[in-house]
Amino acid sequence: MTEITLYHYLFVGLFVFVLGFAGSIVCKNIIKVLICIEFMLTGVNINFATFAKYCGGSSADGFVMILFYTAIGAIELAVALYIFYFMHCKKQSDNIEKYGEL
Amino acid sequence: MINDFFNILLPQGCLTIFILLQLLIGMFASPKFHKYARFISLIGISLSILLLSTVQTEPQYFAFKNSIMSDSYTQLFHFVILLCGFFITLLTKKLTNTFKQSSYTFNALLLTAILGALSIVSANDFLTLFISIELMAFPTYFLIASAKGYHSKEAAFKYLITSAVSTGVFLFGVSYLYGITSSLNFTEIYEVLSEGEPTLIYSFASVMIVFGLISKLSIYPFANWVIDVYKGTETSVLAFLSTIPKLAMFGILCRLLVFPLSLGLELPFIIAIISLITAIWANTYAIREKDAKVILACSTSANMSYVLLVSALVSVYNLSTVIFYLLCYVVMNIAVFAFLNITEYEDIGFNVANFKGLFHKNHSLGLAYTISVIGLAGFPITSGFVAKIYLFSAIVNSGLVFIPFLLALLILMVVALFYYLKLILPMFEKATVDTKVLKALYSQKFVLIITTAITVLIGAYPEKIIELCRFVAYNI
Amino acid sequence: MDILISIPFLVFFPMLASFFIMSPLFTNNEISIRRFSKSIFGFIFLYTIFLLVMFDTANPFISKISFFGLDWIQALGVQFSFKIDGIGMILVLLTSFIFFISAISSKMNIRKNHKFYYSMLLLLMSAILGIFTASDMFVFFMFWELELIPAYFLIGGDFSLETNTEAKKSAIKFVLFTFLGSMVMLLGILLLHYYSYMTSQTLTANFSEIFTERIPVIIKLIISACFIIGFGVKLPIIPLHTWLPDAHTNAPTPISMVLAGIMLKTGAYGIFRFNYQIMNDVFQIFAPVLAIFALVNIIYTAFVAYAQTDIKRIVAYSSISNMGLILLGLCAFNQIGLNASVFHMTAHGLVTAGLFMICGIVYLRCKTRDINTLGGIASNMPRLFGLATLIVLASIGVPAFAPFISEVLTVISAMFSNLGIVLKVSAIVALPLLIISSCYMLKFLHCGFMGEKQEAFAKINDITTHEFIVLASVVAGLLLFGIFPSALLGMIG
Repeated sequence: MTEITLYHYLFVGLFVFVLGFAGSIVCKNIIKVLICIEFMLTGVNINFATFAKYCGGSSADGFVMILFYTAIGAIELAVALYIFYFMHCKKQSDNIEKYGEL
Repeated sequence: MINDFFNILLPQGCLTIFILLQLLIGMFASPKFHKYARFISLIGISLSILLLSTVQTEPQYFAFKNSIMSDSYTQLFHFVILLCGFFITLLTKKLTNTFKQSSYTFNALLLTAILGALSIVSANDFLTLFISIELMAFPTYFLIASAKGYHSKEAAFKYLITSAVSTGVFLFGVSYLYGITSSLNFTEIYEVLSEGEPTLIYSFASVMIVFGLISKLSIYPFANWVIDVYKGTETSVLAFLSTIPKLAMFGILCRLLVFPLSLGLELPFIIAIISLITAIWANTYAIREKDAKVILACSTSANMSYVLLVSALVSVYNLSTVIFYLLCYVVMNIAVFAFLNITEYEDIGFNVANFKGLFHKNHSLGLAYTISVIGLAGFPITSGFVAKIYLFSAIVNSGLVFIPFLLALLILMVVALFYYLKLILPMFEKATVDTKVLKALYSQKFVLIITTAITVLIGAYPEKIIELCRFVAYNI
Repeated sequence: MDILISIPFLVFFPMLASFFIMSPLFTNNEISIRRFSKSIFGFIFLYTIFLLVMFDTANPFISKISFFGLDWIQALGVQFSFKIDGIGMILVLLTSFIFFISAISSKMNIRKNHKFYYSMLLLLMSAILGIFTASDMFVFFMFWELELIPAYFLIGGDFSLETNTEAKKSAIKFVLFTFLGSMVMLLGILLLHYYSYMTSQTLTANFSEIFTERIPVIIKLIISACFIIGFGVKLPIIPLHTWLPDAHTNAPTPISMVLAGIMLKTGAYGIFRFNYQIMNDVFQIFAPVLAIFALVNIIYTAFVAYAQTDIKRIVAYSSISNMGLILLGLCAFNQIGLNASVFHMTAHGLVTAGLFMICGIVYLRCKTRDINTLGGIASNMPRLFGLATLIVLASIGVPAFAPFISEVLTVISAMFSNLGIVLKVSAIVALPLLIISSCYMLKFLHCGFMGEKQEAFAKINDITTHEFIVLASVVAGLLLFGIFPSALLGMIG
């Protein structure tokens, strides 16, 4: 068994982030897009946690960043759903192509 | 801690108090007082402008464990942002009239966005920067969505998705930078990095950070969405959207490019190429368009790409040109949107063909609008002309490599002239019976006339302002 | 006395008057607007004559505006400075004269939007005077760009009773072409400014202080090429000329007079200032190439002019042809060539203004400009016919008129040029121009005026005293400079 190093964590972080980024661009379903944005958030947070653990030293900056980003991400999602609710009332669909009036 | 607050944070503190005040009054005030919400905002912004004079700037002042800083550079940006905020608040009257109940909330949101913009400029670590960006972004979503109808919601949603994705990209870059230097503070990062050779991961991180930040500047990868956002947004909010976030983002981007991100050699070229692509895309896209809002969205993209190109080629001289260009640009842009705000509520719409003959019925308003658009196109006696020459001289100073870029930009200016002409020429056509005499509010007229006057005055005598910009750039 | 000689006053007074007319303070009454602006133009003309009297070739007028002791843009070393030397004086005088007669002849052609029209005309005059007097590159460029705005509105504006949709298109074409040229020129100015600063360490944009000696040759070539393209659009040099015939044909008559009489000369003036004077060592490399372009201008457009049926188009193409002659004089790169060039600018400015005015008068009365339907109006309009004959004779280079002197001088200068065989050949080739130009100008006169009397034109009237005085003054100027060429040549120095 190899030891789990910094790079393994970083790889997971990168993988999740790229998954989220690609998904947010490709997905046709609005809910899926929102989930993909959450994936990006997770990827970033994995990175921060890893770095805070391995190279952060005594400061907790990385963990603080995670805390804030999680909170703000949650609010962002709430706002997104709130606005989406208004749009959904009109269109009754979650396909992104139905919403391209502009 | 308390000392720090009184030394540099009084303007922001004042704004915060007024935000709370707005929300409190909004809860208890009877509906007939809702039209006075604007005045509270105006008083708050004016007070903050006054309080700017109490801020310590000499020498650079770092506060709250180096997370916030203040110098003459931030002070200038704060002043301009607050001034724009003042004008924009004046413009929102017609919009707030449409929703009766919640105008206190609307004004509180606007103030919050301005507060966010102020904090962005004075941030000195990535955590503060990130929170400030979100502080500016959240109210912006609601401001965009506040107008009636479905379109504003769609615009807000699109803006939200773009912002959320770009925030992710930005923070991903930050996380690597944090990994290399184990710090989030700009000054510390710069100190750690300048000791060693820049690594590949550093370049990757800095590109990610820049990409994350430029989404708010409507630069190419995100520019397509910007046009949709512009289409669905009410004009007074658009006046906000096209000035204050831009100012704030450039305020921090220039600082980042001067300090923590200045060590990689390939970043300027990458940014230059993105800017060029944006300039080409935006200018050619606008040729076919007939909607004034879309044309202005493209114009914003194009202008921002010129500024971005110069700010990537870091030097003190270039920085001063960037600041000067931004100053001139926001003033002209507010003037143009003030005019569109007048026409929007006269049911003229945004198709440029509907502006037919307006000049002959509304001499002074039409003239002010024409001068501002001509200024955006870069013609003399307006500040746009001086800004253009000054900005392009910076590209020449940056070396022969960038001369082809400059040539491309200059030729694109001709294309740009074509669509700027489309914005004003119908006004000079023959007036018909349907041509309206515009009924503008005093506040709208005030904003239009004052901003145009500033444009012309800076154009006639730019030296004092340029001197100020150079002073600020030397002190960053 | 010094206090009366003020170039900024000369340049900015029309601009202020323009803003005054535009402002709501000024009356909307057509007659008072016209009288007011005519008196402004007259005053400026008298003022330039006063300047001419005071002028001394050895000490050119110099003045500088400083705002509270500061330069205009200190970061770029730009000063708001002006200078009138001999050539500038001649062109300033020509400008004020042509604008004056154009304002007088506006009465007939301009029927609507008087306020807008006259304020734009004053603004245009201000910009052109600024171009001829600026002694700082960036100030020059500012006026160069400023000129576009009023020029656009004057060409494409809605001033006559019938609507002309073509006018708007050609105005946009004009603006885009010229703006493209000026953007390329801006690149040249910025490069020149930067390299001058780098090699001499003095931050300046003044024509006389720009330092070019130590700039690498390749950069100098690029800069010169930028300037030639920039000014070549205005001049126009052949592949860049397509905006001109449309703009000149569709513009109202007084504006055509100004465009052909003055505005084209700004291009030639720019080549003189920037290429001939500042970048003079590289100009010797460019001159033979430019001479070929000038020849193409002269010959090609002469043939094209002969093929035209619209009288205004004939005159428009003839001015391209004549601008080629001016360029050829500059390319000779000697004193005679310069003299010839400036002399021809003046002479051609007068001729072409006169010709466009004749076209306008004919069009007003006959409602057509087609050469095939015109004809037989000479007997109804003896006074116009007489004056037109004199001006056409002048334009084909009959002795005793000014163009004769400059055409001969140009050919001589090209013959004696030191810049190689190309110029000598072009001098020989340019000679047939006189024959071709006499062909198309005589066609203009013959088909336009002579021939059998036509029913349709039986009731038209001869020119009014108003128009007679204007045309007669043009003829008088042509005769004056034709008989006493030294009056002008002495000033070029």
